[in-house]
Amino acid sequence: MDTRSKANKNLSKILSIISIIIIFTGYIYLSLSLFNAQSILSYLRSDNMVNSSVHNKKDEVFDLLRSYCAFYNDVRQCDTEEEAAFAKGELQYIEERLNNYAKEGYRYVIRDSGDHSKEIIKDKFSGNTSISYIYTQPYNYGESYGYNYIPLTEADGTETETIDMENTAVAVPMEYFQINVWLNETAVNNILSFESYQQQVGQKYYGIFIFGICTVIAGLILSAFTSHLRNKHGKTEIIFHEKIYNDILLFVYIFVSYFILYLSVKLFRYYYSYPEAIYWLVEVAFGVIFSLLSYKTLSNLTKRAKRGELLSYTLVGAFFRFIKRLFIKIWDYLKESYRIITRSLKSNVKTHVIFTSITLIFTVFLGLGVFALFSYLSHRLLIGFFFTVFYFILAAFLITRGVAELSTELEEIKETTEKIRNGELESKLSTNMNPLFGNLPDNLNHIGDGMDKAVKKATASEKVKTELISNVSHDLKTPLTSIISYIEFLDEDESLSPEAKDYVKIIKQKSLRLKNMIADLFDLSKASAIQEQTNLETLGFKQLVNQTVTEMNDKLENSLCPFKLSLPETEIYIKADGKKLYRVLQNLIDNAIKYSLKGTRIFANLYEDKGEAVFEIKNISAYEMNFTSEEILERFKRGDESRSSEGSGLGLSIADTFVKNSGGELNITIDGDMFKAEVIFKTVNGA
Amino acid sequence: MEKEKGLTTETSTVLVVDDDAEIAYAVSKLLQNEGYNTIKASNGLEALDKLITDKVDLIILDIMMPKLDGLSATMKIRERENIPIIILSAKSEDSDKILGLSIGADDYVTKPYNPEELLARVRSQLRRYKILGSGKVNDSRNIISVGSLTLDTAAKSLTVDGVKVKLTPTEYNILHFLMLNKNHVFSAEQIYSAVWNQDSFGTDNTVMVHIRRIREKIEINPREPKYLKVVWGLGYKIEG
Repeated sequence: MDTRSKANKNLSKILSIISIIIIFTGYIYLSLSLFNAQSILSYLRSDNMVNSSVHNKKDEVFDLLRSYCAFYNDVRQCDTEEEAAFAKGELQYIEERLNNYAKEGYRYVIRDSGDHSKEIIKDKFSGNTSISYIYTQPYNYGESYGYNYIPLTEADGTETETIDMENTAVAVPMEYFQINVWLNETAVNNILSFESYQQQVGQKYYGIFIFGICTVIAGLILSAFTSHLRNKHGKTEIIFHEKIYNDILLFVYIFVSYFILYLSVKLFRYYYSYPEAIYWLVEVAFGVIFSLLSYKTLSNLTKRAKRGELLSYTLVGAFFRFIKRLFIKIWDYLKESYRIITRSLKSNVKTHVIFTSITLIFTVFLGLGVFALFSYLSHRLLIGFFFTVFYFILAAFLITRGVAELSTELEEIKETTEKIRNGELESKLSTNMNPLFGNLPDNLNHIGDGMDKAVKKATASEKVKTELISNVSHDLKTPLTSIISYIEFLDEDESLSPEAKDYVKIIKQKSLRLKNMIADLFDLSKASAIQEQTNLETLGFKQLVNQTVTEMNDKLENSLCPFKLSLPETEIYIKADGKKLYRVLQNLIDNAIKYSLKGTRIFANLYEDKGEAVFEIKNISAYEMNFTSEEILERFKRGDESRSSEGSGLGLSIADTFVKNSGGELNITIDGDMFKAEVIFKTVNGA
Repeated sequence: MEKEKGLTTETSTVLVVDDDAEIAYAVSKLLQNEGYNTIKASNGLEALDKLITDKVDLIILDIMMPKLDGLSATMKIRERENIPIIILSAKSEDSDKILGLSIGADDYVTKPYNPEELLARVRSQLRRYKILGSGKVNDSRNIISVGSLTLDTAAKSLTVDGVKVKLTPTEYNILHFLMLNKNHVFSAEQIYSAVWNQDSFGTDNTVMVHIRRIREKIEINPREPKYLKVVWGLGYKIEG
């Protein structure tokens, strides 16, 4: 495995070197062929080869003729004698040179529209002419001008026809020179033979050029194959310099290659100016740059192809992806906005719906305004329409959506604060709200957290307290059981002295009181625990009072205080925990019996007042009540501070806790010796 | 009391299980004074052993004990024994009582107990176990029974744990109505109109007074009734 991959590595190394060499060779051929063709052509065209360059002679003739026209004009228009003489001299020189050309087969005619032109133009070149050129030069530079070559093709060697200026389509100025040049057979042959020579040279180097290109392509293919081989066995990780987009890479490659070729070809114009070695040095350097660049580009592209990124990892691709993402974003934004707005419009909250619909109507009207404005300004409905669409996407949706979101978030804040108020302290606001709200969600969440912690802490400590009390009361009960049991045996013992019997009676009484106190303590501790379950149901308050009074009938009859009860005609329904409310009423009546002055009446009254059911009980205290109504509700507080009488002192505390747990209210009023307790519940509709 | 004793054909044996030796002794003494044989055990495991070696008619069981607690012991005993079990515990919450009764105990008495009440409950359970036993119930159509309450509609008489209880005709009618619809809560007014066949006009608490009397007759502890229960603010029901 290791040796095989090593061999593969070596093979691909060798192959890549070979491919680079092949590309290099191809490049050299390419540049040489281009150089040679270029250099031969330019050599042929150069001044010192003028005799063989027949083609150039035509241009020369025209150059001379143009200068001739210019001087001719000068002669007619110059101010001073000297200038005229100079121009005439020049004209003479030009005429001599033109005559030389005429010997080589060029015939020319200069025509001046001003005077004897017609005669000159009729002076035709007699001979077998095939090509003629006409040059027209404006006579007066200040006016409109134009010049044209008008090639006149001859049919089959017949004489050239007179150029009828009036029938030519060319606009000819009023005053002009017209130069006609005819070529005789020799000149034409010369031109033709030059062109064929050119072709021959071209063909010769064309072959080399094609060969060079083929070699380069072969090298490129080989390097592609090599890098493919390497990709197959190695990693196709993209390293830093390969992170150029494919199309940019290709463009740079082509541009650089062209530039190198161009430079190397241009360089040979000055072939003779340098020592040959420098030329070759530059040539080789260019070749190395080109071949390495080609290899690198190819291997990069094949890597991309292997990863399936040939087309996708391009600047064009990236651009299209960007456009696509942009459109998707806009589409998503529109969809989301639509969802938010419709949700807001369907909301149960009226202000919400009103806010959103007003904004929606406003933005739609504004959109109509935009349409009207832009249509008017541009005088085109389409442009107005375009701007309106643009407005709707950018502004209308943004504004309406913003208002909808804002009102939704306001609603959320309202709901959450309401929840926290109602004790759901875990309720949280989402923290990514509109920045308009600032730190409000965070702060509110913190307040909620703090309260939650405080409440949980309080609950936990309350629970610990409750557990403690319930454990203690359990532990108290066990020895008390023994005490009560054995006192019972003593009580039945006939052998005790009368004195001892009295003592036993007292112990029995007190132990029973202890038993009641422990039971009350336990009840209270349980009721104080927040987590204690209350079983709320709709029940008849009147019936409950009746039941309680019936249950306590014996006690009431045995007490020395007459009990006066007044009940309403109809039932009053409340929501409460029946069992606990019974305990409350029982405690209140018990209290009244216990602490009333002998012979006074106890008044109990149940009535309904403004949606509230009130049970009140009034009695005259046997003791002076030197405490406030608040103090009496505190645990272990009692009417008589001596604490000698029966009862645990917890009765009112238990009553208060039970009433509160059931959602009611216990009011104590102390007025001189009159003690009044009121149990108040909200009435509900009958079951 | 002499008459009730006579009902037992032989002396019953009660197993008293409590980790507090003084309480166990006190309970035993109380029972012995009434003529019962007693055996003591100080925890659940010991109780299970005693059940194998001795013939026991009733068990009084504490809950919080070392080694094997009362609730587990109850479940273990119920796997093979049908004898009455009375739980005697300092745990006084409703949830404790419900748990104890639902796993197989027949009665639940809280500490500190009232000696008379405890004795009455022991008697009641033994009567049920020994005389009524299983399958001895008269299955006539004229019989309505809820727990140990048996109402004979032909003779218009009521027996509680096999002991006849005297009722006035009104009391009988109320009890009959409630036992026919056991577990259904009726308000005082509904009971009135059902029993007297006329509407009550509000303030009357006749029904309540009657019900209180019935309870005193049929319940061992009228303050904590087992059958005729007060549903505060809603009415009354027979629970079974």
